[in-house]
Amino acid sequence: MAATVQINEYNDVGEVKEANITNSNMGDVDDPNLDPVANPVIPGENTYEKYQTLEVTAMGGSSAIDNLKIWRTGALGGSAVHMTNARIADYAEKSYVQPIKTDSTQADQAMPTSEPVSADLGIGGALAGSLIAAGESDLLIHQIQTDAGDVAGSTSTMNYQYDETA
Amino acid sequence: MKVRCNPCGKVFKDNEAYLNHVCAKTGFKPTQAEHFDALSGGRFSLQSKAALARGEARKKGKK
Repeated sequence: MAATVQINEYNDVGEVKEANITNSNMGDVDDPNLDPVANPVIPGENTYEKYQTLEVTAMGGSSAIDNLKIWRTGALGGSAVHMTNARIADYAEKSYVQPIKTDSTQADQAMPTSEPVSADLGIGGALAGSLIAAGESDLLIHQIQTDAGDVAGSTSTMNYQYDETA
Repeated sequence: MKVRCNPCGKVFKDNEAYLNHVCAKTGFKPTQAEHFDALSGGRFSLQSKAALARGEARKKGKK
């Protein structure tokens, strides 16, 4: 037995929870698992923010889940930037607000493009936090901000990593 | 807060109800590893083993 873990996304004004999302496609609509072809971002504008969590649905006999690391691999199109609240220092837990497509004030750091040296998403408001029972991480917030000269469309991979202790 | 099971599309009044349902897509509850393996073609178990290896290695390093 081992812990069971999934990634969730929160959307809309009513904070509807989409449990166990299929992908983290970014685009011009506040929907989980969105179709980026049907909802492209106009160059110079932003995607809607994503609000996501890592959730342990059962501990499965393990004692702790911790050391959450979030990063992206693969290049974005043109000079677009990928912003997030994830960080390895000066971390502060963020609250949910309805996702926006104007410049995010919640996501104000560049998304790491390689595995961080230490946790960059907290549990219970702390990077050193851990889950010892079923529950969720702090909110991961991220947004892609494009430049007017960018060409629509790029594919990259979001990485959500955790450590598990028996 | 409403919770929607992405794999089967069913909507629940709260997280407890979601966690206790048997997903129509997989035949398992979201608290069972079989649910995630069914959705990922078995990759979940491999990712879980890797997470456990990292956690145990870090614990030994702290001793």
